[in-house]
Amino acid sequence: MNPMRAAASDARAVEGDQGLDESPGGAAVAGLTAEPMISRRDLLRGAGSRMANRGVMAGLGGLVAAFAGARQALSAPPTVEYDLDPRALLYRLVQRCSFGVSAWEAQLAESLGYEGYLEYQLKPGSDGMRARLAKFNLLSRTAAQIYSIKKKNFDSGEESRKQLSRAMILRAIYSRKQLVERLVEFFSDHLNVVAEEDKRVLKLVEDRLVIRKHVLGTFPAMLLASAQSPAMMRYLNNDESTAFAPNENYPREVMELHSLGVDGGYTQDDIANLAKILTGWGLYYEWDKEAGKLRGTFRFNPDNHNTDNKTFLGQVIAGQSGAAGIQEGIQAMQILGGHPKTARFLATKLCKKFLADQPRTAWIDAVTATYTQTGGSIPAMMRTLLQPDFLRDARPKLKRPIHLVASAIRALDGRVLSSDSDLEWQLERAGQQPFQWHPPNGYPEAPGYWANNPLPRWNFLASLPWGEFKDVLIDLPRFFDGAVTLNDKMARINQRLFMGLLPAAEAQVIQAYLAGAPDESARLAEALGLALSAPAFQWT
Amino acid sequence: MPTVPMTHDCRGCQDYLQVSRRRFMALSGAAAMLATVPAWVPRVAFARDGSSTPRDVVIQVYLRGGADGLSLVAPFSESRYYTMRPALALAQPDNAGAAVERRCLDLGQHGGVAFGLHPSLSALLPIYQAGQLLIVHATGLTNGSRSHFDAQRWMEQGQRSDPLGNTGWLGRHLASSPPASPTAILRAMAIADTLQLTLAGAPQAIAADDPASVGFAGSWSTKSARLDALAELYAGNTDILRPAAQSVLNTLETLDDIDYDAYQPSGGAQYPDDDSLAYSLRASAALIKAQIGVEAVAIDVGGWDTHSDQGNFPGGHLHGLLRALGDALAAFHADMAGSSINYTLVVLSEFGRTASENGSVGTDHGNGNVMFAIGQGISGGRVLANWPGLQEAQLDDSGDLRTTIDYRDILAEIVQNRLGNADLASVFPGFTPTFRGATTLAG
Repeated sequence: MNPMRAAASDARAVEGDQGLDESPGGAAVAGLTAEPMISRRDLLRGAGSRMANRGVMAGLGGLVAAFAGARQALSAPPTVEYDLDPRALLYRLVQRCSFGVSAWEAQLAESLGYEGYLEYQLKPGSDGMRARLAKFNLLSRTAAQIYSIKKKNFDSGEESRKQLSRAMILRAIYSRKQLVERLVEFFSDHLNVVAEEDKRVLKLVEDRLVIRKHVLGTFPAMLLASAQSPAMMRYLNNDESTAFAPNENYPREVMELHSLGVDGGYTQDDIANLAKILTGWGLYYEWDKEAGKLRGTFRFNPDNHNTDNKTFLGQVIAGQSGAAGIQEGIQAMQILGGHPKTARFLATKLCKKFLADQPRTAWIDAVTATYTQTGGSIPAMMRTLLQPDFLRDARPKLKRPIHLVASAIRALDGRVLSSDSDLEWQLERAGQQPFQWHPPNGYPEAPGYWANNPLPRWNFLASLPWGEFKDVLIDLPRFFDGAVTLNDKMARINQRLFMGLLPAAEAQVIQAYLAGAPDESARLAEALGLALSAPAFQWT
Repeated sequence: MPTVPMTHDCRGCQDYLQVSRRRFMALSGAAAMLATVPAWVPRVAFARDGSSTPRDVVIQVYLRGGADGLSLVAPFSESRYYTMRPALALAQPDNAGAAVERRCLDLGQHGGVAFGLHPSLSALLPIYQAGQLLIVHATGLTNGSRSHFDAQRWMEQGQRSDPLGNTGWLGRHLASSPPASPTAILRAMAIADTLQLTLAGAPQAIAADDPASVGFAGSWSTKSARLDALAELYAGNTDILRPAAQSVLNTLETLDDIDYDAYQPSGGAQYPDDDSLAYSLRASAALIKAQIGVEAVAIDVGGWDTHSDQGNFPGGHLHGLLRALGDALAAFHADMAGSSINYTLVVLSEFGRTASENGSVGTDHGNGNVMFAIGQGISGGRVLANWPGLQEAQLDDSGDLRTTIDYRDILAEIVQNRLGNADLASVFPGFTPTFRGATTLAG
C-alpha cells in the first residue's frame, strides 16, 4: 500500500476507534442467520407473480498479427459454455441479481424458481438489515442533525463517510434485497459523487434521498433529485454558479454522463444555456441566516438566478424571475429525463451492467422501449432486461472488487464484525473503496480496467479463509460439516461457491491441491483460497 | 551502476525465483552478497543486452483532470493574458510591483512571445537551463474534446478509436518492439490501481499502487505450491484475465525482493516527503535501476480539474500541486542522472483550461495545453510552439487557446529516436507525425 494512502487510512482507523463506535467489542457481531428467513408473505408474493466486430485491421502492419491473439483476449470474456438447463439459468439469474451465491440465496432461488425469484427481487420485502445496521446511527439523519451532534472527538464528515461505506459493504453481503443493492451500486456509479471533505455528510444523505429513494421508482425522478442534491451540487460546482458567471461543470456532466450520453447531440450552447437555467440552484450553508434545520438541503436563490430567455435542446425556456425561476431548471431536467437519447443511454448502460459488456442491439432496443413506455420505471426495465431469453444469451461479467469481496464472504458464510475496517482497506488496495472514485463517471464497468491487477484480489482471497482478517470470521468446520472424504470436501466447495457448476479443469486443480493433506484445516483454507481465486469465481 | 553479478543463465533465474527474500536473508552467503550489492537490489539483476537497440526508459506522468497550461507556463508578453485572467495571471518576471511569489520565472522569448514558468516549478528551471527540459506549448489533441473521459481516452489511445480493441500508444510501442533486455521479466509498470489505458496492450506489464507492497499472502511453506496451482488454473484459461495473471506469477518474487525502503537515491536527489508522486518516482528509480527489464512506467497525478478557487499563489491549491510536481520531477532527474541509464519523461494532461478565468476564480475545460519532455536525450532549454495568440480572433470557437502542435508529433519522435522503434505506423496508426527536433538521436 502506498504509504501516503496508508497514512490516510491509519488516520481514519484511529478516528474510527474514537468515534461513535461504542458497542462492546464482542456484542456487535453481525452474523448471517443460517436458515433462510423468508416470510410467508414474501413467498406468496414471489410464487404468485406473473412473468410478464471486428475492427478495421488493414494498414496496421505487423502489429495486427501480434495482437490477433491479444485482441481476442482483450475483448473476450471467458469462453465458459453454460448449458441451458434451467438450473444453470437460475444460477446465472442469481449471479446477476446479487453480490454472489450464498447458501441462503441459493435456497431462496431454488424454492421460488426463476420467475418467483426475479419478482421477489423486484418487489422485495424487508432487507433484514435492521440489527446489523443498528449502530450506524447517522444513516437515517438529515445533514443538519448530523452537523448538530456535539460530542467529544466526533468528526461529522469522517463518521458519515465511515458509516456509509461500511453500511454499503454490509448490505452487499447480507441484505435480502440483493438486486436493490446491485442497482444502488449501479446508480451510485452513474450519478457518482466522491465522499470527501464536506461531501461526506452530504453523500450519506444523498444515498438515502436520491439513490435509495428512487431505485425502485423512475429514472427521471432520480435525475431531478440528483440535480437538487447538495452532494452533487458541491461535487460538480453548481452551488458556485451565479447569474453573472454560470458554472458549466454540472451542466456538461449531467448531459454527458447522467442523461443523453456524450453522443447525445447537445452543443456547447446547450451546455452554456443549461448553466444559466440552473443558476440559483444551491444549498443552505451554515452561515445562511435561515439555515437551521435546512442546513445542507437544497435551496433555490432567486437573487442568483439568470432570468434571460434560453433555448435548450431546441426548446425555448422562458426566463422567470422570483421563486418561479426554479421552474426553468425543473423543466430542463424533465426534458432530459424524457429524452429518447436518455432512454437509450441508460438502457445501454444497464444492459452492459447486467447482461454483457457488448450487449446486443435487440436487448438495448427492448429496454429502451420499456423506458419510453413506463416513463423510465427502473423495475420495469430490469424485468425486461432479466427475461430468460436475454439472460440465456448473456455473457460472463467480471466481478469488480466490491462484488468479489462480498461474494467470497457470502460463499463462505462469513460473519463480519461491526468494526469492519479490514474490508475497506482491502477494497482500497484492489482499487474500489466505496464512494471514493474521484472523476464523475463512476468506477469503470469495462473488464479491461480491472482484469490487469489480479494480485490484490488473490491476496484477499488467500487470506480470507485463513481468518487473517480479524473483523471477518470464517467458520471452516461448519463450512465442511459432514464432508468426510476428499470427494465430499471438493463437492462442498463446488456446491457452496459455484452451485455445483465449477468447470472440471479448474475443479481438478483444486482437488489435486486439497489431496496433498485433505485433513489439515490449513490445507482446507488454502484450497478454498485457490477456489475463490480460480477464473470461474471471478465472473458472474 | 552498482557492481552486480550478471547472468543470463535461466537456471539462475529459476533458482532465484524459488528463493524468497526472507529465506534468502537467512542463507549464510547473504552477508557476503550484501557487501558488494546494495541491499535493495534483488539478488539476480539482468544486464541490458548489448545486441538490443539502445533505448531510454520512458516514464509518463499524467496530470488527470486537465492542468491549466496557461498557469504552468504563462505567455506573459500577451496583454490579453492579463485582461482575461485578472485574479489568476502570473505577474511578469520583472514586475517589481508584484510580490516575488506571484511572478513567473523568465524562460525567454520564443517565436516572438515571452514565456514564464510558474514560480512553484522553480526546481525545473536548472533542468531547463541545462537543455534537458523541453516545454511544448499550445499542444494536445488537435481535434479534441472537452470531456475528460473522451480526451483522456483519445490521448492515451493515440487515436480516436482503436480497431485493436483497447490499447494505448505505449502499450503498442512495447508490443511492437522486442524487450530491451532479452531476459526481462517485467517490461512495464503502472503505478496505479490498474493499468492505465496508455499501457494497455503491453506485454509483461503489471499494475501496483505501491511497488513496495507486491507480494503473495499466506504461509511461506506452501507458497510455491499455491503459486503453481494458480499458474495451472490460469494456464488453461483463455479469457482477459490470463495475460495479467501470468505477468504477476512470473514477476512476483523478484518484485518482492526489491527493498524500496533501503533504496539510496543517487546524485544527491532529495525526494519530497509526504507526496504521492515523489514516492512513485522514487520507487520507479529503484525499479529501473534494479534492471529486471523495466523500460516503461506510467504514473498518474490527480487534482488538476480546477473549476473553482484554483489557487495559483501561496496557500492555494494549484500552487501546492505544482510545487509537489516540480520538486518530485527534479529529484527524479537528479537520481537518474547519477546512474548510467538514460530516460525520457513526458508530462501530459488531457486538455488545457479556458483562457479566461470563471466567476469562481477557477477555469473550465479548454483546449491547447503545455507538455513537458525531460531527459538526457531531449533537445530542451526552449519553449516549442506555433503560438496561436490570445487575441479574440486567434482563439478557438469557445474562446480558448488553440492546439497548433499535435502531442503525437513529440511522442512519435521520442518513440523513434529515444525508444528505438521505427514502427510508428503501429504506435500511432493513421497518423503522420512532423518531427520538430524535440530529441537527439539515441546512440
